[in-house]
Order: sequence, then structure tokens, then C-alpha cells
Amino acid sequence: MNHDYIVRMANQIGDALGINPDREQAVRDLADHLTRFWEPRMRKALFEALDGSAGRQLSPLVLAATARMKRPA
Amino acid sequence: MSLPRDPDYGTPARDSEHSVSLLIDGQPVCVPAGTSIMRAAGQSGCSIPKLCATDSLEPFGSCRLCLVEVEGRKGYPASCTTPVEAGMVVRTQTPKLAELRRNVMELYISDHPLDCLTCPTNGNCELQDMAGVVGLREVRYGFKGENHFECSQKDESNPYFSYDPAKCIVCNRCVRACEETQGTFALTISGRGFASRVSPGQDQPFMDSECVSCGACVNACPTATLTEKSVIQLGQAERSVTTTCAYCGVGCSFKAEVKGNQVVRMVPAKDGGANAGHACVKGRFAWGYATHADRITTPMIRPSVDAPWQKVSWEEALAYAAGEFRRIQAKYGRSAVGGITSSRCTNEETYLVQKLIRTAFGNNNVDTCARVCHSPTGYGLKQTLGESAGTQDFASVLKADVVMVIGANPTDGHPVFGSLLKRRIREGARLIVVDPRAIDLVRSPHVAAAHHLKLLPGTNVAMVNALAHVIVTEGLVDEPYVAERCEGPAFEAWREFVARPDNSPEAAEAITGVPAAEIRAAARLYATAGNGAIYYGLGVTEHSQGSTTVMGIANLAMATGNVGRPGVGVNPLRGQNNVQGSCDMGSFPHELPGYRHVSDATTRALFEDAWKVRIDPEPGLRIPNMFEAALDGSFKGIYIQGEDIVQSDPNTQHVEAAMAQMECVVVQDLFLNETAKWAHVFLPGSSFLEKDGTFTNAERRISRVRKVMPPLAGKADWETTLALAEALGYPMHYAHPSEIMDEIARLTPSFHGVSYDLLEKKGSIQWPCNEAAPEGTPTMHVGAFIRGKGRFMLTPYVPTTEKVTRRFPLILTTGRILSQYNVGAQTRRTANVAWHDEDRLEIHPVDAEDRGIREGDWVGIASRAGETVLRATVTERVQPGVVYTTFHFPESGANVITTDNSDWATNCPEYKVTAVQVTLCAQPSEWQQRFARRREEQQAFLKPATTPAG
Repeated sequence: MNHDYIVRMANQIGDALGINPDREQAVRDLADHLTRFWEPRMRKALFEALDGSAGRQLSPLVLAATARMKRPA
Repeated sequence: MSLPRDPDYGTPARDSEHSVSLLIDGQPVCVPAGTSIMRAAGQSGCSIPKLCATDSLEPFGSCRLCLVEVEGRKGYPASCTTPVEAGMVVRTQTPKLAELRRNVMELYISDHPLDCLTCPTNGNCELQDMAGVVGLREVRYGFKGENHFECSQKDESNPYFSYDPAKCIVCNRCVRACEETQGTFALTISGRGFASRVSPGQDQPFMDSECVSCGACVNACPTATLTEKSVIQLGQAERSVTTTCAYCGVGCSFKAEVKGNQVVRMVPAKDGGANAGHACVKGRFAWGYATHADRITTPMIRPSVDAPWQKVSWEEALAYAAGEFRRIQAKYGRSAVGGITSSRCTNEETYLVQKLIRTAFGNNNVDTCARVCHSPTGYGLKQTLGESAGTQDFASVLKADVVMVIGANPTDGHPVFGSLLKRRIREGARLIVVDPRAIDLVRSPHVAAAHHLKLLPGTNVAMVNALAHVIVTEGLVDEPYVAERCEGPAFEAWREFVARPDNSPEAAEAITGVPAAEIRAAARLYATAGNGAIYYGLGVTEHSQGSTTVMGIANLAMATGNVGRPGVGVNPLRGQNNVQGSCDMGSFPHELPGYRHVSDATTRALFEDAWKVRIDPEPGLRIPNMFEAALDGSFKGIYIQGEDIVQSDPNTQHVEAAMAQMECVVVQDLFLNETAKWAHVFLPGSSFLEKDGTFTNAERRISRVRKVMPPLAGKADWETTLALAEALGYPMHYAHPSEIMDEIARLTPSFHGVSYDLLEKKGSIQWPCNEAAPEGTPTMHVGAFIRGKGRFMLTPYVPTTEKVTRRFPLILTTGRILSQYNVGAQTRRTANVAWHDEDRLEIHPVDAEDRGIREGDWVGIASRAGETVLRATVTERVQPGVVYTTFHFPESGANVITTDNSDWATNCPEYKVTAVQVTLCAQPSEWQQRFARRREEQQAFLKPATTPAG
């Protein structure tokens, strides 16, 4: 799946949830959102983006959230 | 023989804690104070003759037919305008009254054509009835004097009804219906005395007046003066079936009056829970599409989208579709296929489609058109209040003291609710409109908004936060309510957040373009006027921050204590007839019916036990994600029931590119719509008139859809899904949609009490309907929120990435109008095109002048996504810097210009904000030229399929 598309959406969710002053909670909420609403191939594409050049566009909050998520097979 | 009429008590029911006892014709009667003698008599079984009175309208007292005698009083008061009093003794039938009534009728009939046998309402005419009731046997005055029936000209300008002034008795019922029921004030009585005539507008034909063709006047007319042309043409019906309209989310109840299998007319049901006898031009009149010549009634298949269609049997089409889906899954994997349920189909049908996807396909790749309209409502209200639905019934608005309408245009999009709202405003409630455009509610006859917050598109969150800022910083929070009913820490965090200076009205002014003082005044009004109700629409949800705004709205309502009783609440105005229902039925890829997440093992076990299959615990693809997956080659097949994604989804060229990558597109629809032009299998759909089932409207009201005529293609949509499931090797066994509802009720807590038997008994039910609420739930969150404590959510304003630039300096926003409905597949195939036969671009005079654009000029609208060409309408309805269009005609290409920006939480497209440039133009855009060629080609592919062999 197009990495730019995935990165843009992930950052957008991060922008919305990043308002939480409790950063740890914001990271948990973001990881939870991506797990609960994103189909596995979208999450897989997110991890692929993370490995590639598009990953450089991911916000710090998204990067932190991916560390809490299971990489889909 | 005409159909029996509903009981008509002559004047409206009165609501009073006090009752009054009296005697009518010797019978003791007890009624609420304020009731008229006429109604009291009617309720006691004693019918008083009447012509100008009907119980949907306030009494008028003009016909003098309803005179009665009241003991101890002089004269003969009109029973319609005389309220009951304690101890009153009333006589309704005496020789003197009979004489008076005969004399009145004699005068009426002396100026009325005596063509009863050839009159379209013969046998269904109140004047005729009353002549019989009073025993009129002669007209002593003759018919040769001055009259109205010899030289009156009919007004046939309206495509749906005829106005024959020769038959008018000037009872004023039509004028009053236009005022009281519809609230348009298009009709009046012109002239005085004998010259008095019903007059649309300024003595204009109906079509040239402000008339919105709701049909309230036709309904109210006691004679054949205003009559449906279908009745004139076809004669009166022989049977009637109560069913539910398939247009907007109001969900009006109608009596379909039928002759054989032909609908003669649709009459709004007086006892309809959502509409109480009212209707709009779509539901009342625009049903002819159901039998339009464009209907495709034979299944078709083809090997590629560039090949002609081949007509086949149902069995062959279904076997071909099932074979293709299985081939794709074998080649590309189980998740390479999916489906879309329809918000126009019934609850039972959407339930079956999602069940088919989750069982026969074995994945959760199911979505619904709510994705592109109210998915943020589902998300936002679930997060804050605990349930993905509006909080009130429609009648609640009649108890509101202040109404805030945000990003909705009820008089066009939800007309019957719009009329109810206007009535409440006329009664004195205050109105706040938050909208970039000057919608009709801002100023129309006897309605004016106290505040119109004319914000820039895309700035809703800044506006909602600014309103909240005022409420918090000016001490307007309902502290006891919040303390009792909401989560404390979340509220404190929210209070601190919205109180920040960057959320103040002064800061918001720079973002929204609305003066801070206006925002402050509106916030104070909402928070202090008493019952505050918020109604919102797609102008809230269809943004990159749609879900944030929905949560912001819920925050406002909770902070002011405006949730949990009649007159208040958070009310999403749902776009389509069954958007609420399709969401309830588990059409989202992450939720099983009843909004339960697929990752929840207990819920999955419940459905696995019932369906005898393993359910995938992972969420599936949403519609925009399906397009992306198609483009990357991992999504190859789709079953689409009743949705035209190619016309209605944003960035048309992107969608077309995705469709071109699919190997099996199965479209189940009434017509060869834009999506069907990319299909390999066409399964004929059935209209709402051809099947049984239920719809759930915006107020969570479940209403019966009843079969009026047999399915034109031989199968109702639910039967087609059953047949496809069987072809896929997963037979489902239901003999009737009631059995599907029984399964839904068994598996869904909020539907536990719902059954067709109960619907038959009650007419309609608002969910939750279960052990705790056996009669249903008109108002939600009474006493406590569904989730326990209400949760305030932080709502940061994050500007959309769709920015205006020198290249694209204007913002395009889109919407719909009264006479057309969404992609127009239905309404374009009716006489509603008389009001709107093309989509136009609204542009402010300043922007038009800058570009040399005049009214009616062809203009090109270019965005980062594409370009299209429309004619311009120069109007101050839009503000400078903002342009607006509708999307009812595919050739308009409105969605060629909208982008694939979407809501952060739900992927609901940002239809409401597209940066564009507008220039004078001489020819259609490249896309439009391509569209025209493709339309011609695809129509040609249809010809061999529809030409009989041999």
C-alpha cells in the first residue's frame, strides 16, 4: 500500500491524539487506534514505511506508537 | 370505492394536566382543557359536520358548518373554535342546526361544479360527504348567476399536482397547511369577498412561486381543487400499504395507495412517528423512478469492463460471481475481496451482506456509505456519550428553547424535520446557525437566526472550542450536572484546555472569520436560554477533523447539562434513509452488529456460535483503504449493494483507477450507475416498494418497510444476497425478513426486544429496545450516560492540509438541495428535474466580478485533484472566497475536484474543503469529455443485453 498515504494518515492521527498532556497515554491511544481501526496490510505498510525512506516523515509520536505495536505477518 | 380515511377530529389534540367534563348530546365526555367542542365530540363518537377544520391545523372557523348549540348561550357557536368548559351542555344535532347547515351547504354548492361523476376525487371528497351528511336536496339559487366554476383556469404548472380553482371553496386549509405544517408561506388568499381565491406567491403559477411542492396543501384540500395528477390520470387506489420512505434520514411513514401493482400516490401517514402526516417533494411525489424504463431487471455478466453485457439467468450470474470471488481468493488470498452494504437498503439486507462478508468471504472487509457521511458521528459520540447515535426523537425540538444548527441545511436535506424546527422557531425558540453559507434557516418567512456564525469551511473545531471557551471562562458550565454525570479528571483537563487563550473567540476570529463578539453572544445564548439542542450534519463530519468536531459538540452539550431530557441533546441529521441502521447492523469493518469491536472475543464467540464459522479478529478495510489496496494489487473483488461509489466518493479519477484494477466487481442496483460501468456482474436490485424489511432513521426509529408490488426482477435484495451466499457455499436459511430481524434481536443487546410483531403493534420503535426499555427509548442518556459517566475529550484545532494558495485561491464546499437526492439516481429519473436539472457553481459577486463571470457563464473549476466545468450562479448566499456546488448529476464531476483528504479517525472524506480556482471556460473539461465518451460506450454495451435474441 502506498507509503506516503499511510504515513500521512498515521501522522494525522498522531496530531489529533498528541494533544494529551500525558505523552505515555497519547502513545498508548495512538497504538490502540492503529490496531483497532487499521486493517493488517495497512499496519504492515506502516512498518514497511518505517523501514524505508517514507518513515523519515513519521512524527515522533507515531514512531513511539509503532514501538508498542505488533508487526503484522 | 375509495379507501377509508383516517379519523379526523377537526382540531389538534391539546396537552393539559387538567381535564374538563361536559355533556355532548347527553353523553358525558372528559377531555384535556383547551380541547375544542368539535374534537371532544369526535372523541366521544359524535361527528360534527365540518369543511374548514382538520385536526392537523389550528381551528379557523370560516365554513360555519360545525355550528352547535350550547345550553345557556345565545347563538350558534362554531364548535371548532369554541373550547370546552366544565359543565357545558352541548347539542350537535337539532332541527335548527340541521336547517342552518343545509343553508350553508346550499351556498357552497351553488358555486361548485356538479361534475361529481367525472371528478377525480369522486367518493373521496369532503364537500360531497358533507352535502350528504346535512341532507342537501336542492339548490334554490340555481347555477346561472355569477360563479367561479365557468371561467376559472386550471394551474397545471406543478408536475405533480393540479390546481383547479373552479372547485375551491376557499376554506383556507391549503394556505394554513403551507404556513403551519410546512412553514413556507407560499400561499395566500388574494382578493376579498366573492373575489377571494387561493393564490401562490404574487398571483403566480405554483411553479413560479416559493412553493416547495411538499404536498401539504394537496393533503389538506377537502375537494378536488388540489389533486395529484397521478390520481387524475389513474383513478383512485384500491388498497393501501403503510411503508417508510427511502430518501433522507427523517424516515417518513407513508401510505402507498395502490391499484393492482401500480402506485397511485404516496400519502404521508398521520400517525407516522417521524413525520406525523407531513412529507416533502421527494417522498411524497418522486417515487416514479421505481418503474422507470432505465431499470435493469435481468442479471448480466461480462468478462471485462470493455466488453458488452450478456443477459443471463439468476443462477448463471450468481454462479459466475461466486466462482470469480473464489478464484480471486485462491489466487490473491482470503482478504483480496470485500463488500459494501447500502444505507438505502433495509436493516435486514445490510445485516445479510455483512454476514456474507464475515462468513462466506471469511474477512471483515465490509464497509458502508456511512463511511463518507456520518462515520465521525459513530466515532465521536461513542467516545464521549457511549453510543453511536443521536440522543433525541424529532419531536424533542418542540421543547427546545435554543437550537444550534451546525453544518446542516434541514429545509433542503431533511425537509420534514426542517418544518418542525421552523415551527418551533415561530413559537419563540432562538436559533443559532453555524454555516459558511446563508442557508434558508438564516432568514425565511417568520424565521430568523439570532446569530449566523458564517465561518470559513474547515474551521469548525476552532469555532466549537471558542464557544466552549466562553462557557468555561464566563461561568456558564452546569457544574452540578457535570459533577454528577461526567468523568471529573477528563472534564478538568478539558476545562483547562478550552480556557487557553488560543481557544478564545478573539483567537478564533482570525481563523474562522467570525467576529469574536458574535461568537461570545452565541455561546451565552446556547448556555443560558434553557433547553439547548444541537443539530448537525455533513458540514460537521465531512472534514479532516470531522470526529473532533463531533466530540467538541458533545463536550458543549455535556458542559451545559444539555443531554438526557426532551428538548436538548446532540442530534446528527443522517443523510440517507438507513444510515443509522446500516451502522447498527455491523457494516463497519471493525464492528459486529451493535457496535461491538471484532477484537472482542466474547462478542465474536456469540456470532461464531450463531453463524458456525470463525470470525476474523482483525479489522477489515474501509472504503478508501479498499481503493488503495486495489491500486497496490492486493484487493481484487467487491460485492456492492446499492451504492454508487464512483459518483459519490471523492477524487473520481483516483476511484476510477482503483476500479480498473479489480477483477470482479459485482454491482447490485436498480440502474446502470457510474459504478456499474466498472462492473463485471450486474444483479438487479429492488426498490423500497418491492420488499419487506425495516429502516432505522436519524432518531433511532425502526420502521417497517412493506412490500407494495412484486420485485421487478423477481428477487428482493435480501433474497439476492441469500442466493449469492448459497452460491459461495454458505447457505443462510430465512423465509422472511422477520426471521432475519429475530436473529439480529437475539444477537444485539440494543435490539433484544425488537420484533415484527412489536413493530406491528407500535408502528415504530426507537432503540435501545430491550428488557430495560421494552417500549423503546425516545430520549437517550436519561439519568446516566450509556457509558456510565460522560467523557470530555480534548479537541485541538489542526488546520486541514488543503490550503488555499495563489494557484487555488477559493474554497469549494459541496452539498445537496431539496429536490434532488445525493447522486440523483432516483430523483433524476422523476419530474423533480423541473426544479433542478443541472448542478451549478455558486460564486459570490465579488469573486465573480474579479474573474469576469456573469450569471449562467460556463466556468472551469480546478483543484489539485482534477478539473470540471459547470455553469455559474452569482449569489451572496456564499461568502467571498467560498464557492459551492451540488453533486446530483454524474456529468457535473463535482467529485473530480474533491480530494482524498479525510477525517483522521474514520477516513470520512473532506468533501467540504477543496482549494480551487475558477475561470471562465468554453468547453467541458478533459474528464467530462472522457466521461461522455465512456457513457456512450457503456450504454452501447447494454444494448445487446437488452435486445431480445433472434
